[in-house]
Amino acid sequence: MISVRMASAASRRLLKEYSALQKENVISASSALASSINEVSISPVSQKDLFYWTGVITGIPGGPYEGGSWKIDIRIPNTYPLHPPEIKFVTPICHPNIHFKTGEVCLDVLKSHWTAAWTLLSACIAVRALLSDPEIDSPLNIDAANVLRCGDTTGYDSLVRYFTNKYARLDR
Amino acid sequence: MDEISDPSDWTGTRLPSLLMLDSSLRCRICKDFFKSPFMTECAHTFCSLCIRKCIASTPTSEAACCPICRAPVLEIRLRRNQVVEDLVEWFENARAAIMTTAKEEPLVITVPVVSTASECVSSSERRGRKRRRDNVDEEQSTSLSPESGESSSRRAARRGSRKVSYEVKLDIGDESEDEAAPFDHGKKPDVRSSASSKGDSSFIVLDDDGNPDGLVPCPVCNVEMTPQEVQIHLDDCFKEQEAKQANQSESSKSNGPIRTLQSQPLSKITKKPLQRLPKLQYDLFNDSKLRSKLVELGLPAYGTRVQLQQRHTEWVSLWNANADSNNPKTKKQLLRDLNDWESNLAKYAIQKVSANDLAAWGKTHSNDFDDLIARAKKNVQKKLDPEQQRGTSGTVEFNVQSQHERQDSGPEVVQKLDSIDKKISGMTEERMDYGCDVLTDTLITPPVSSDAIM
Repeated sequence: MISVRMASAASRRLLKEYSALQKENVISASSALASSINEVSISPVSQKDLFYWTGVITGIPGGPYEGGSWKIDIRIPNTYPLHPPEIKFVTPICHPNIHFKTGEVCLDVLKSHWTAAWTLLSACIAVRALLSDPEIDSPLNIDAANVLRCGDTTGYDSLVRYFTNKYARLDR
Repeated sequence: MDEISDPSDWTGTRLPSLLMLDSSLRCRICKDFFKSPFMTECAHTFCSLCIRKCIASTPTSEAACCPICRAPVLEIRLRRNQVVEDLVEWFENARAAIMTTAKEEPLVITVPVVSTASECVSSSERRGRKRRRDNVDEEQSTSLSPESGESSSRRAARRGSRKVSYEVKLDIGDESEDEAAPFDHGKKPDVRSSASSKGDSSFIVLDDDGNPDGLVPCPVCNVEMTPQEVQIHLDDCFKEQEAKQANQSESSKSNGPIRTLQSQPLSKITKKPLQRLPKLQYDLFNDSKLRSKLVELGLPAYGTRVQLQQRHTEWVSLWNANADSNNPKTKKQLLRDLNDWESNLAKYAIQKVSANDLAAWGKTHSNDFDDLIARAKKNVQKKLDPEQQRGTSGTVEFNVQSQHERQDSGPEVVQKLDSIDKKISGMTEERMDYGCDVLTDTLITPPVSSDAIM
């Protein structure tokens, strides 16, 4: 239990999410059932600032992102959860809806479709789901989207695999 | 509330199935227990303040929607959810007690029941047996003594002191079919004294099918049942408990009507009716009207128009949610809440454009700037050279030239140019602007001369 004095609604809620995540981590570590945790793991950068989180998203096995893990930055507005957190990729990733240089993510639930019932974890899981389900009509990485738009899935897969191997392999 | 509690507190305790009960009594927006819960038309429940803030925060151009299912939500269609409010109240009251019980090791609980020495021995024996059951499953069935005839006294004993009921729970924890049967809530508590002193034999009921973990005790009466049943049963159980308390208070006061759950908040509301504040169409108010409106409400009236609007919206949400509450705060407290909210907002605004960020941004983009400057210089040079040759002159071109030359000329020249600049700016403001336009134009449009830099 963490005690807080006069915390804003946002930090109260973030504290709750954080303590829930911590407990989940402890339990999954003890029961060796860490599947869902390994996919997405997030935590605040420092205990002092709950409005800046960082995390790691892993690629879905079986797809071109398999074996990669990408570092993400999560900036949380003070009006959270009424407004969505900003999620950015730190590790470069090749994806039609993610900007290669800035790491900005184009996902409806992080923009207009955000509702207060979403959590940081669920948002990150949504981002992970976006990896295997690109939306080519609103691209941030036009080159990747164009390859896919032409129907060249083989080319797209190998392109993604190349960038995954180049930037996002942990074992290298 | 000073502590941050969480449904996951229940995992790892002896009652992990309470996790679902706990989490369904929480608002999905603030993750806290419901505070004056309100239900939407799509049958989702939120705290009054949470859903009101949520609706207020959606831009006026869009329709507000339910945070869970995205169905359209109207603030006037929100309805109070009294049952949930009562559930939360009783669960919150009992939570700490249940939690401490659930966290204790089942085998370490001391049972200070009014008991004889023989009872203590037999109960410890039973414990030992229970511990061994994991290893030797068949052994226990021989020593069972299920006394079906005494079930009523067992039941009554359960209603005795809390300590007794722990004891019962330990023993009947594995007994499935007997306890799964519908439970008689109408039992009057007057049998309890005789039952608890009846001795331990009535408690010894062990199971035959070894099904230890499927059952959960009701947090109120400690009766064991399946998790699904608990949800249904709780409601009745709370009412029963409440009725009991009402009876007790009645007997102590010797008069006064039985307090029912429904009548309690209603009476409070009728006692002190709080007016709801209407929302404002901010477009219809100019700044001074809006300011006077805030003053009228007793709110601080400084700041920009956006701040005024935000403050008013927040205040309406706070006020209306407070009006929904069973024990409303005073206006002073509400004003303090508003102040806290505003200072938090301000903190964020400062954070957002902190010098650190700007420096980092400048560092990462410095190459871009250098590139742009170099290009601009080249462009200007290219454009100016032919014009100078043609001999065209005028304030506009002169201005451009001066700006350009200032970048790479010595200090004396700068001084000279500055004085010229002053002269020009003294002539007309418009021309200054135009001069800047020309400068930016040279950045964007390709140079007139054929040898382009790209």
